[in-house]
Amino acid sequence: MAIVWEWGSELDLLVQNCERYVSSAWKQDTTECAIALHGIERNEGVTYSITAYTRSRTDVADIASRLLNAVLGTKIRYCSVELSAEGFPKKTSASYKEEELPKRVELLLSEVGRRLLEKDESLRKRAEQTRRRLIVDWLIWLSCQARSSGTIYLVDCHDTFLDVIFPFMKKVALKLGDIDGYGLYDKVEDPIAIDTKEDEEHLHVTAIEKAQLVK
Amino acid sequence: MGAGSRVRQSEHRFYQGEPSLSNAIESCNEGGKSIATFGEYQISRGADGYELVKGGRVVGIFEEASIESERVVFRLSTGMLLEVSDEGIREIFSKSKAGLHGLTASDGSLYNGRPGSRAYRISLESESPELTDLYSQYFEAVYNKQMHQYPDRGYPRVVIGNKMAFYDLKNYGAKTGLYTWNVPRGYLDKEGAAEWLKCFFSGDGTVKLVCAGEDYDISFESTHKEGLEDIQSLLLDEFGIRSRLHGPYGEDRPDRRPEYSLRVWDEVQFAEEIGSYKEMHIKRLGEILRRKKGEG
Repeated sequence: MAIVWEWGSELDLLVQNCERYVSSAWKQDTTECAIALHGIERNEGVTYSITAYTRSRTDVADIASRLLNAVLGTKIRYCSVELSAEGFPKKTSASYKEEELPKRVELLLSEVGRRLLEKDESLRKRAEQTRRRLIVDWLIWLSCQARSSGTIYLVDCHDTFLDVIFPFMKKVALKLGDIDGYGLYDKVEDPIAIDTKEDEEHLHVTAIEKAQLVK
Repeated sequence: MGAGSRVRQSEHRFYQGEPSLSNAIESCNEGGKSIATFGEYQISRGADGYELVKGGRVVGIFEEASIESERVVFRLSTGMLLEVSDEGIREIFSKSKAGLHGLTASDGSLYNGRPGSRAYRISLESESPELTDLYSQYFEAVYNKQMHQYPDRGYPRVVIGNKMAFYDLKNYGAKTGLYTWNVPRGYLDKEGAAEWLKCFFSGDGTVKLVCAGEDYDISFESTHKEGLEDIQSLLLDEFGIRSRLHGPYGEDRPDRRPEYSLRVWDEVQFAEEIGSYKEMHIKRLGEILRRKKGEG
């Protein structure tokens, strides 16, 4: 992976640098190129990566320009380009339709809540004693696959609140092409509660994977 | 005119008013009116300004001084201050310099092109014009130079090419590499620490919706783990504000730098003592204060 542009450089250079890098690094055996922009939408704090996969080196400038225009107004931390002889394995990011996502996210959060109550005795007692409904905040990783003129675009976003991530992700994806579908990372390993708050009806728990608690 | 003379001219402009410590050492403190004493240092009012005296010798003369109960602060050049207290002397950042450093660390960039290049560009780009305006004001207050403002595809941006300011910010660790920066802990008094944090947070902080949209979380987001650890210590040591560091996120993606999040626990205290210059943050921090104080 080569980082060809970073925040603070002029935006026109992003497209130019992608084009220059690809034209100098593309070898005879190169079959595919991945161009990615990584950044954060800062009003709501949604972190994103958008990646375009193309097998045509002549389309690189147009694709980079399209990626850039899709996230203008956010903080684009950096742009990376990678070339491959074998082609890039694509994640399945189009398993769900838009209307299925809320239910899928609900299931994911229920699973996190179930695991938390199962292993955290104090939380379980607190939920039982207060009889408040458990609401879990968990980092939701959503992805969306879009397609335009044979180019596949993947938009990955994460935040704790579906109503915040989804509109941002969909808006970006629609600027890139026609949406194929959505994906949700639903693996839960070892969640721990790092904060709890109560209101009249709910017990709000913020949880993360134990491995992600640094200090 | 050669490059050397340009540098000297620039130095001359920057260091106007800097006290010449070595030359002043030989003069004696006679007839000056003593104002305060901190440890082995005495501050007197002399004919040319405030005299800093150690062991009966004048070690510096300053035009301006701010005398407080625990310390005295003299103004130096390029946004630096000399703090004299019972613990000794140290150079610290003025509020403007602390803010400039914090904004540079978050949204700013220091760029000098390829090796041998004479471009020494300092810039700040943000989606919030209030931050580019503030950066420009602080830059002028510190270096007495006006930045140029121009938008880049709708992003407000302020830019200036200046070698002296470039190296000054670089040497204090405002940018130490791609995506990395130092918290200038040794140069921050409490006011400077609050300003540095406020400015850094304005750029790389978020006040995001949580609890099904009914509450907010305050967090710093960065790919620079060590930097967030330093922020965590600064928040705790200077202000007693607790936080938790989470991450890495996204480490399974080879094309992506792992990201970390520092989540602030003491939200009310953060909103009151640190805050933000960004309009969206100000609005949400205000809501946090209204809710939490209402509850309390």
